Amino acid sequence: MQAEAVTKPKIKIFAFVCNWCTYAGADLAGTSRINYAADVRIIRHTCTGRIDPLFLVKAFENGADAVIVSGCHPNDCHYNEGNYLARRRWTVVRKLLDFMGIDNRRVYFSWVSAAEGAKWADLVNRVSKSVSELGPARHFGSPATQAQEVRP
Amino acid sequence: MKPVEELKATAAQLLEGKQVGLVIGFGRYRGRARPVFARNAADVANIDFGVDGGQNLASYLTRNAIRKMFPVAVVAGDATRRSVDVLIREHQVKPENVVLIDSNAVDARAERDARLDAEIERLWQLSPDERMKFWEGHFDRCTRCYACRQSCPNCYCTTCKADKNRPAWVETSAHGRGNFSWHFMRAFHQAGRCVECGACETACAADIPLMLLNRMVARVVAESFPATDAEKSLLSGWSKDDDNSFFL
Repeated sequence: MQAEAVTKPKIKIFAFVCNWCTYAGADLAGTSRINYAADVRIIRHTCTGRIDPLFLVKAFENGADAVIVSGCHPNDCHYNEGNYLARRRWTVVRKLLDFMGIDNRRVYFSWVSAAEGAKWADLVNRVSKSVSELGPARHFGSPATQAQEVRP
Repeated sequence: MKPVEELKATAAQLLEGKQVGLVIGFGRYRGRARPVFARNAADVANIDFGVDGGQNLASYLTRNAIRKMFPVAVVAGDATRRSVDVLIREHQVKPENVVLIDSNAVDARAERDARLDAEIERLWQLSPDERMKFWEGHFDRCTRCYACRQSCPNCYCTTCKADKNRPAWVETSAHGRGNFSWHFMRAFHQAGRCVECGACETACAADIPLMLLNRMVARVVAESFPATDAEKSLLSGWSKDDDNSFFL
């Protein structure tokens, strides 16, 4: 039907998660057969401390509308201090991204443990809902954001 | 402020006594300030202790050609002194290899910082989209000459992440996307380290307001981490009391 062809704009969420907690948590959400938004693409890393801020920038370069960074709760890191190091980094990064024009409502940070499948599903649903309302992200230097180039 | 004669005598003595192999300072040449490298006592006459060339002389301390002449003396103002502290803290320079000589140059930082703070406040009032447009307007001129990197004493990596091409973290062409990655990365790597000397902005051929980014990051750091260990780099340390409010 014609009416069905016009749906809400598809959004892309990139989730950078740690292997030991959030990835297992997302796995638990799956094995528990919890339904959650399908807009998320999960990228597994060894630790949140491994997630370079440029990963987020790359994600936005490649058309992300939002990113989620998630790992073990403080004190629970598999490598003892990876998430503490990451937390300090993100404090600076989220402000810097905001200052350079990437809305903080598109950058989410969270702690999700291996036992929190429901929390993960809830998080993705909430992010998906609020980002759908914001609409697709404006990308830096993308043709859509710059004046149309006139070629002779 | 010490009299110029005294400073000149100190520099000459250091060179004559072979306590240092080189004195780096600023001199005037045809009305312009430029770095002067004094190898012997006679060359000290070329150093002007009251001039600041906008460059950070500490950036020479990580250059191989200069390292061969260690120990060296640097005519250092406030910012250069702090740069040397950063280099020592990060084990790039040994304290015994650097001798600091006072500079009499006028420090205009207070005015500049007030101007930067006002501009930062103005930008925070805008929407993220408007801020992106603001930076697009500036980064559009960036030719990726990396003068900002070369002029910075903090940028001493032998292989910069921006030069890696497998994978290419930062697109090498002077395109909006790569420019964003580059300037984001540069500003982020200055977190807790930048001494706000302004050398990058002075070096920038495209007049990009790099100090806005540096100053903004420095302010975030000062607000978020008021009590950090001065012996350690900010981002290589952590505390259980760090801000956790933005984690869902």
